[in-house]
Amino acid sequence: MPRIAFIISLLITGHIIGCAKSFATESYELKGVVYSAEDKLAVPFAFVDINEIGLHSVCDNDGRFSFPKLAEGEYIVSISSLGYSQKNVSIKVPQEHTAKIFLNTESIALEELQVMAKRTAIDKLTIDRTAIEYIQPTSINDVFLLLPENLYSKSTSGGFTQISSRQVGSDANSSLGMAVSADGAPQTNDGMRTQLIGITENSSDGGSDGEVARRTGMNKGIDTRSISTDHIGSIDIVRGISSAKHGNLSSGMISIKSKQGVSPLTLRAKADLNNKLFYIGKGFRVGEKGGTLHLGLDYLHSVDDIRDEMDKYQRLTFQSFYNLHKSVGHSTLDLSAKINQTITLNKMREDELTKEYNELYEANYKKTALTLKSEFTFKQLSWIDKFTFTANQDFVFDRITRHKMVLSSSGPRSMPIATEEGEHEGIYLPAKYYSDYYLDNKPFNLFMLADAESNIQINKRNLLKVNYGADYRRTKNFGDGAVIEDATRPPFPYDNTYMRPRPNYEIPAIISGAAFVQTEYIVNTSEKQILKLSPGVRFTKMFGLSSDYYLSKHGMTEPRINCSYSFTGKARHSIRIGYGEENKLPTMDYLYPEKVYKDYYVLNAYTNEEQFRHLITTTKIYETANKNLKANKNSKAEIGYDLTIKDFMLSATLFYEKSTTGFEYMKIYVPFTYDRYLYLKEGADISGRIPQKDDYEKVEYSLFTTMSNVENSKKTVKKGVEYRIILPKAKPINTGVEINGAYYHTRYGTSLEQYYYPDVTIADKRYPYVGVYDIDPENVYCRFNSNIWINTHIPSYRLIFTNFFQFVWHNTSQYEDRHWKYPKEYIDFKGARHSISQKDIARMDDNTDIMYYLKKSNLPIKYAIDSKPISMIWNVKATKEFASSMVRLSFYANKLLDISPVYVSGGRKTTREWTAPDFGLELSLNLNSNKKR
Amino acid sequence: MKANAIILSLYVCGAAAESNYCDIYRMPMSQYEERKEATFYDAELDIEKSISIQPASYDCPFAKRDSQRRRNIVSATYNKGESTGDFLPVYGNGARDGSIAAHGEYKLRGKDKEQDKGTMFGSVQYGRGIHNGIGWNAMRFPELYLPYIATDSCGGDTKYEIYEVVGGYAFTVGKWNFGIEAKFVGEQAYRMTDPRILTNTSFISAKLGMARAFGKNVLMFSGGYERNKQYDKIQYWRPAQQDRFFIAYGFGLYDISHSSIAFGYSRMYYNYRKHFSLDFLTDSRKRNTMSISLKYKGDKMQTEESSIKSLYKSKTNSLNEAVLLNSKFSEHFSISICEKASYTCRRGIENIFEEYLVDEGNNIYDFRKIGSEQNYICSALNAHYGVNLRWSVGVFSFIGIGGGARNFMRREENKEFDFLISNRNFGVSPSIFGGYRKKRSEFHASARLYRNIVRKNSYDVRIENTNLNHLDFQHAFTPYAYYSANYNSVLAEASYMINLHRFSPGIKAVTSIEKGTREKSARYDDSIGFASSAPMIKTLPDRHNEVFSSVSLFVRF
Repeated sequence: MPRIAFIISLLITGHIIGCAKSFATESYELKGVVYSAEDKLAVPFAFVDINEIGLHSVCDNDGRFSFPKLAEGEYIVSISSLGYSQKNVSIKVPQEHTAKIFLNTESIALEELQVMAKRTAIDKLTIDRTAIEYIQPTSINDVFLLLPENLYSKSTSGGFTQISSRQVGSDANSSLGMAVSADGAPQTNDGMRTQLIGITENSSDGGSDGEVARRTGMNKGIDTRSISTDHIGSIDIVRGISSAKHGNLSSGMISIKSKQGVSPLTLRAKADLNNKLFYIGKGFRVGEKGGTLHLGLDYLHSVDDIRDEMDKYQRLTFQSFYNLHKSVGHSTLDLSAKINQTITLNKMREDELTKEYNELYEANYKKTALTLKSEFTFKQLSWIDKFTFTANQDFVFDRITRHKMVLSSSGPRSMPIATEEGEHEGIYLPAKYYSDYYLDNKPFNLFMLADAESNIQINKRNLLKVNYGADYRRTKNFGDGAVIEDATRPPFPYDNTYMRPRPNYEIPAIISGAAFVQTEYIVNTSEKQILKLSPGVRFTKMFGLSSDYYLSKHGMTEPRINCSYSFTGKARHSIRIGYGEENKLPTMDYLYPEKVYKDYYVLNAYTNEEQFRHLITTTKIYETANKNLKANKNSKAEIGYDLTIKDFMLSATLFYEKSTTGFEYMKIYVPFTYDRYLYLKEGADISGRIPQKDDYEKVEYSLFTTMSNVENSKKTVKKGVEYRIILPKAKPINTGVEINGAYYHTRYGTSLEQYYYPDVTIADKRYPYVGVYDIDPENVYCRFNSNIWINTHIPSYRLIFTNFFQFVWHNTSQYEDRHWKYPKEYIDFKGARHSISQKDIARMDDNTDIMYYLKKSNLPIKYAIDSKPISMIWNVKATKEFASSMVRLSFYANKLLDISPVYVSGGRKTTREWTAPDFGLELSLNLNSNKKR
Repeated sequence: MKANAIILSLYVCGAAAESNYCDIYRMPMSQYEERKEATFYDAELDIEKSISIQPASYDCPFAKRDSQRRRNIVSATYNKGESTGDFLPVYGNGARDGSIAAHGEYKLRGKDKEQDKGTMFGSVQYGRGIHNGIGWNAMRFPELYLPYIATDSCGGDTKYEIYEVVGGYAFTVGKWNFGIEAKFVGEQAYRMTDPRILTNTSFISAKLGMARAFGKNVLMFSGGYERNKQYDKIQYWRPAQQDRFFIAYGFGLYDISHSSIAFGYSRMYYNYRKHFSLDFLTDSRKRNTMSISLKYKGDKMQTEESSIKSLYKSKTNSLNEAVLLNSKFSEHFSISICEKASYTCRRGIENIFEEYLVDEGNNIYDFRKIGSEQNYICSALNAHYGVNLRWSVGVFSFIGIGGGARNFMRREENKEFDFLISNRNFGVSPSIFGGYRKKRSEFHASARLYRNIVRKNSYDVRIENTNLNHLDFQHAFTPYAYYSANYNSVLAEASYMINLHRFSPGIKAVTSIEKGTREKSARYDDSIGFASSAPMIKTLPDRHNEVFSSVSLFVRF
């Protein structure tokens, strides 16, 4: 299927481009000027879109816009600008006069105000500024509630929140694979790297610093907490098949468009149980012809659990966005420059316990990003319409500083300090001490994209749009990495694993390049039928890796194709179908894990007299980097149907996604045999002196040691149906209803064999075998939900009141495997793998045999379905405008009422899910009218 | 509790000040504010509040008692209260809070600007503060759930943040006014010392009301439903620290099997309330006016443990009636007489559960309810009677004197063990007030005294089973001791408001001082079960002192 799709994509793309020009037909220019309805002044830098054929433009400083190459016909032009209500107008081409479009100042008093997400293209949802403001978000996570599948969750910022996509629950690979792009520039933290036992995921069993791990989202994608919604004009979300222009993603695409243009001075203050937020922003003209500058500053103080002084999270963001529009001969040049500064601080404050423990946790994050974009629009060149160059560079300073108390409840622990293989003297740690360390990341990300658009109006009914270009991404980390101030005072001395971390600046840069072609062939077979065929292909290659890495030699080809057919009779019907492959490249942390140092006790002579203690260890170094690591490939297919009858809309999308190469730190067992001095020789007297090896009997000691390697082993299979129903507004009660939701069936598993080591000691010797199982374990989740939005909008009262009901009709989880109790192989202390024979199975069934321990028997209850009953929550939200749109007061209460019935869980216990409401208030002020802008 | 125990005495009502408006739509945030209102009963304020909770009143021109045309207000208030000696440990021995509140009324007109399309009204309040020195109680709004409270043995200071939003719409159909109102109050409270408490409490209510004017006399009725939910979580932050958490059910008794030693516990409370109110107001411009108010509240409360067992339930009925008569004898002299009584009775139900084996193969136990008992009863009566005399001195100024009396009775019993606690108090309160009201400004000041006298009290709680430590001192004796005090109290209020072109800014300051001692007979001679460091009163008679002060800045527009 993938290969066929790739070939089809390539053939169609090539054929269309090759043939199109020869058929090019006469085209016309659509021109217009956008004014403010309030003061009749031009609105600069308004966005102008013809969604039906996917053309976009931006007004100049005087509110003028144009689409130079359109076929004769009638077009629905959509105009939006910050502070104004979006307007759709129908314009016939060729025009007799330049169209004049008047935008109304955004207000709840306007009949046309929309507060829900809009579908603008194939499975793309757009959440505009009005909807964002109405949601009263703290971070971009809150906005996702507008997506059909999303279940309501409380807005928190204390810990890292994974982004989920078309699934029940969330997983690190889906979150990592969700691309976030701001004004065309991808946001990434793939250059972050934290390799320290207890912190990174390849820590073996034992202690870990949950305080750090919970707050850092290593290898889980973008930290959405750091993205303020106050600087955002609109958000596009694609969960299906992305355009070939976008790469290094596997789940979907969140595309952010910043606030820009002229806007009144806006103040926003929000208070809820977890967050206190303040924003101030304004957009203004820079002289008569100098473009516009939009400035914004936002401050957030957030806490997950208000009792925890370590949960305090603060974020300060500043953004300036400058636009300039210039005419250069017959072409126009749009320049934009954006500076975004984000500072977040997670700092433990003093309370009863932190004072007593004298611990410190401080996370400082500073990100400075500069995005430059230049866009040439050519009105007279037939072969190219637009050329865009985007450059983004961001530099992050991220440092977590920890002063941690290490307390051993079982007395002093031993501590190896060797850095080379072989036998070494070790030390004993005190029962209580403080460990100081910091994790330092300074990734510098560079992104450059050059792309061009050629729109060829083949004839009146056929339009070909081709978008082609190349991008370059480079990420280099200049940080110190994990630094322990005193190596003899480690933060996690709970097992025999230890790393000697390399500084991050010694790790080579991750570099990738990609080229793409995305075409869209639009056929208006008649006024009432439109066929869109959108094949695209993308080729990606990594650079800068050493030659022994698989990815240094192999590129990735990603074919993507979307197709839709719309026809209009009494109703408008659309059928959509798509297939695509998307690849997420591994992060720096996955590509360059540290070597693992395993230290084994050779002699552990601990006495109460400190001067007579003697510790000897032998150190073995293991390379854990997986040079065969590949990108995580996600294959997607979907089919959808949309029906529109006047104000009624029905939309349904059936999808299937499969990824079997997700990244995972996978636990492996490695045998090791060494000489150990365990028992005192007969007659040996070690009192009053330091014991030596000679005092003990030498025994050959074998064991299996564990470590975690990064593998392409995580399996995620997602399938389901998403639906959205918009009912016509009931005008007598000023109420509109939208019902959306999804049925999701998600399987999380692992595609590689499983290891199991029975942790038993027989006759003072460790168990000699590790079982290798092929049982295909999976956790299967199913969920069917409906979100019902009832929006009552009374323009004359300047009031919007929303009732949100979320029903979860079906919610189950179950563990599944092949129900096979026996391993397919086992490994012995020499590392040899043995296949399991019938004789071995018979031995495993005999509970007196040593192999009995390899038989894995699960109680039936492990496979029981945990099925939750129907549950419901009710959220309310109200916004009232005062003083002619100058003041807006909003209130929300979520989980105001809930139905969470008592049920018998899979564990056969009576239980119930408790919920508690969360609520907040928001006040926003628009301090000057449009006249004074 | 007998109704005929109400004692008639003189009571002086403070004259209604326009600045009272900032108290009508602001909810009290501490026990000190609530007790001040209960002790120094202000009949005018009480009637104003009673009208304000009638949703139909907002579109009824005859229901307005406040002469100000500016019906919108924004206010900021700071309160502080502190107790020395005896206090109610479930509420703590100190409070500090700050709040911002706003109320607005918006007359809706049709497109022709003449058509009356009703009145929208709403209030909003945000407040935060701290309640200090809470002992043997881990929950908020304990008056709703007592005696079924869960507690740790450490106590401490609880910080909180509270939100209130009220919205409604009133409209007129013929001679009838109708109103609907929805209200939400949500609070998050937390303690930053171990064991750390986090509570989330919400109240959601809906109300329907109607009013009918007979001439210029108004009869108003409303009925509504409220759901309250409180989610309590309490956990030790200190690693490996455990302690006993008590699931109490009155008189110091607690459920032994559920009061386990643990790292923490969680619990849910639900309270469902139906409430009705009836108000009758005569024409406020006549020489003689009358206001009558009658209210009923019926509560059903139930607790839910983390195991989903509903161990306790209670049913509470409250009846509240108030009458205010005003008479202008002459141009310069008027008199008002008021009477108010509120009666509350709570009956507690204890459910009995058993555990049973549901899955032998997997050794899984579940539980089922096998019975219930009704043993706990608590009732209280609070009654006021008063007379208020007012003279106009000059065109705009006035002075007045008054006197009042209060009767307070409280009785708590357990039928199973024959426990009985009873308090009966009597109080008198003379007062003096004065002020002026001019076109550009108004000023109002008052001083009121209150003398509380213990009439009769009894404490009959004898724990037979001495093998177990009981919390009768902490949970039964402390309220008994608090209400067994003779004390004097003084309340001084002053407010000033300027009427500017578009708005009227003002300030209001209140302070009260209470000094007294516990009755000598109110002493605890047994040893205290579970002696702890939690804030607590002394066993022997102690001082009963309280100080409260409040300042509000407000703007009417």
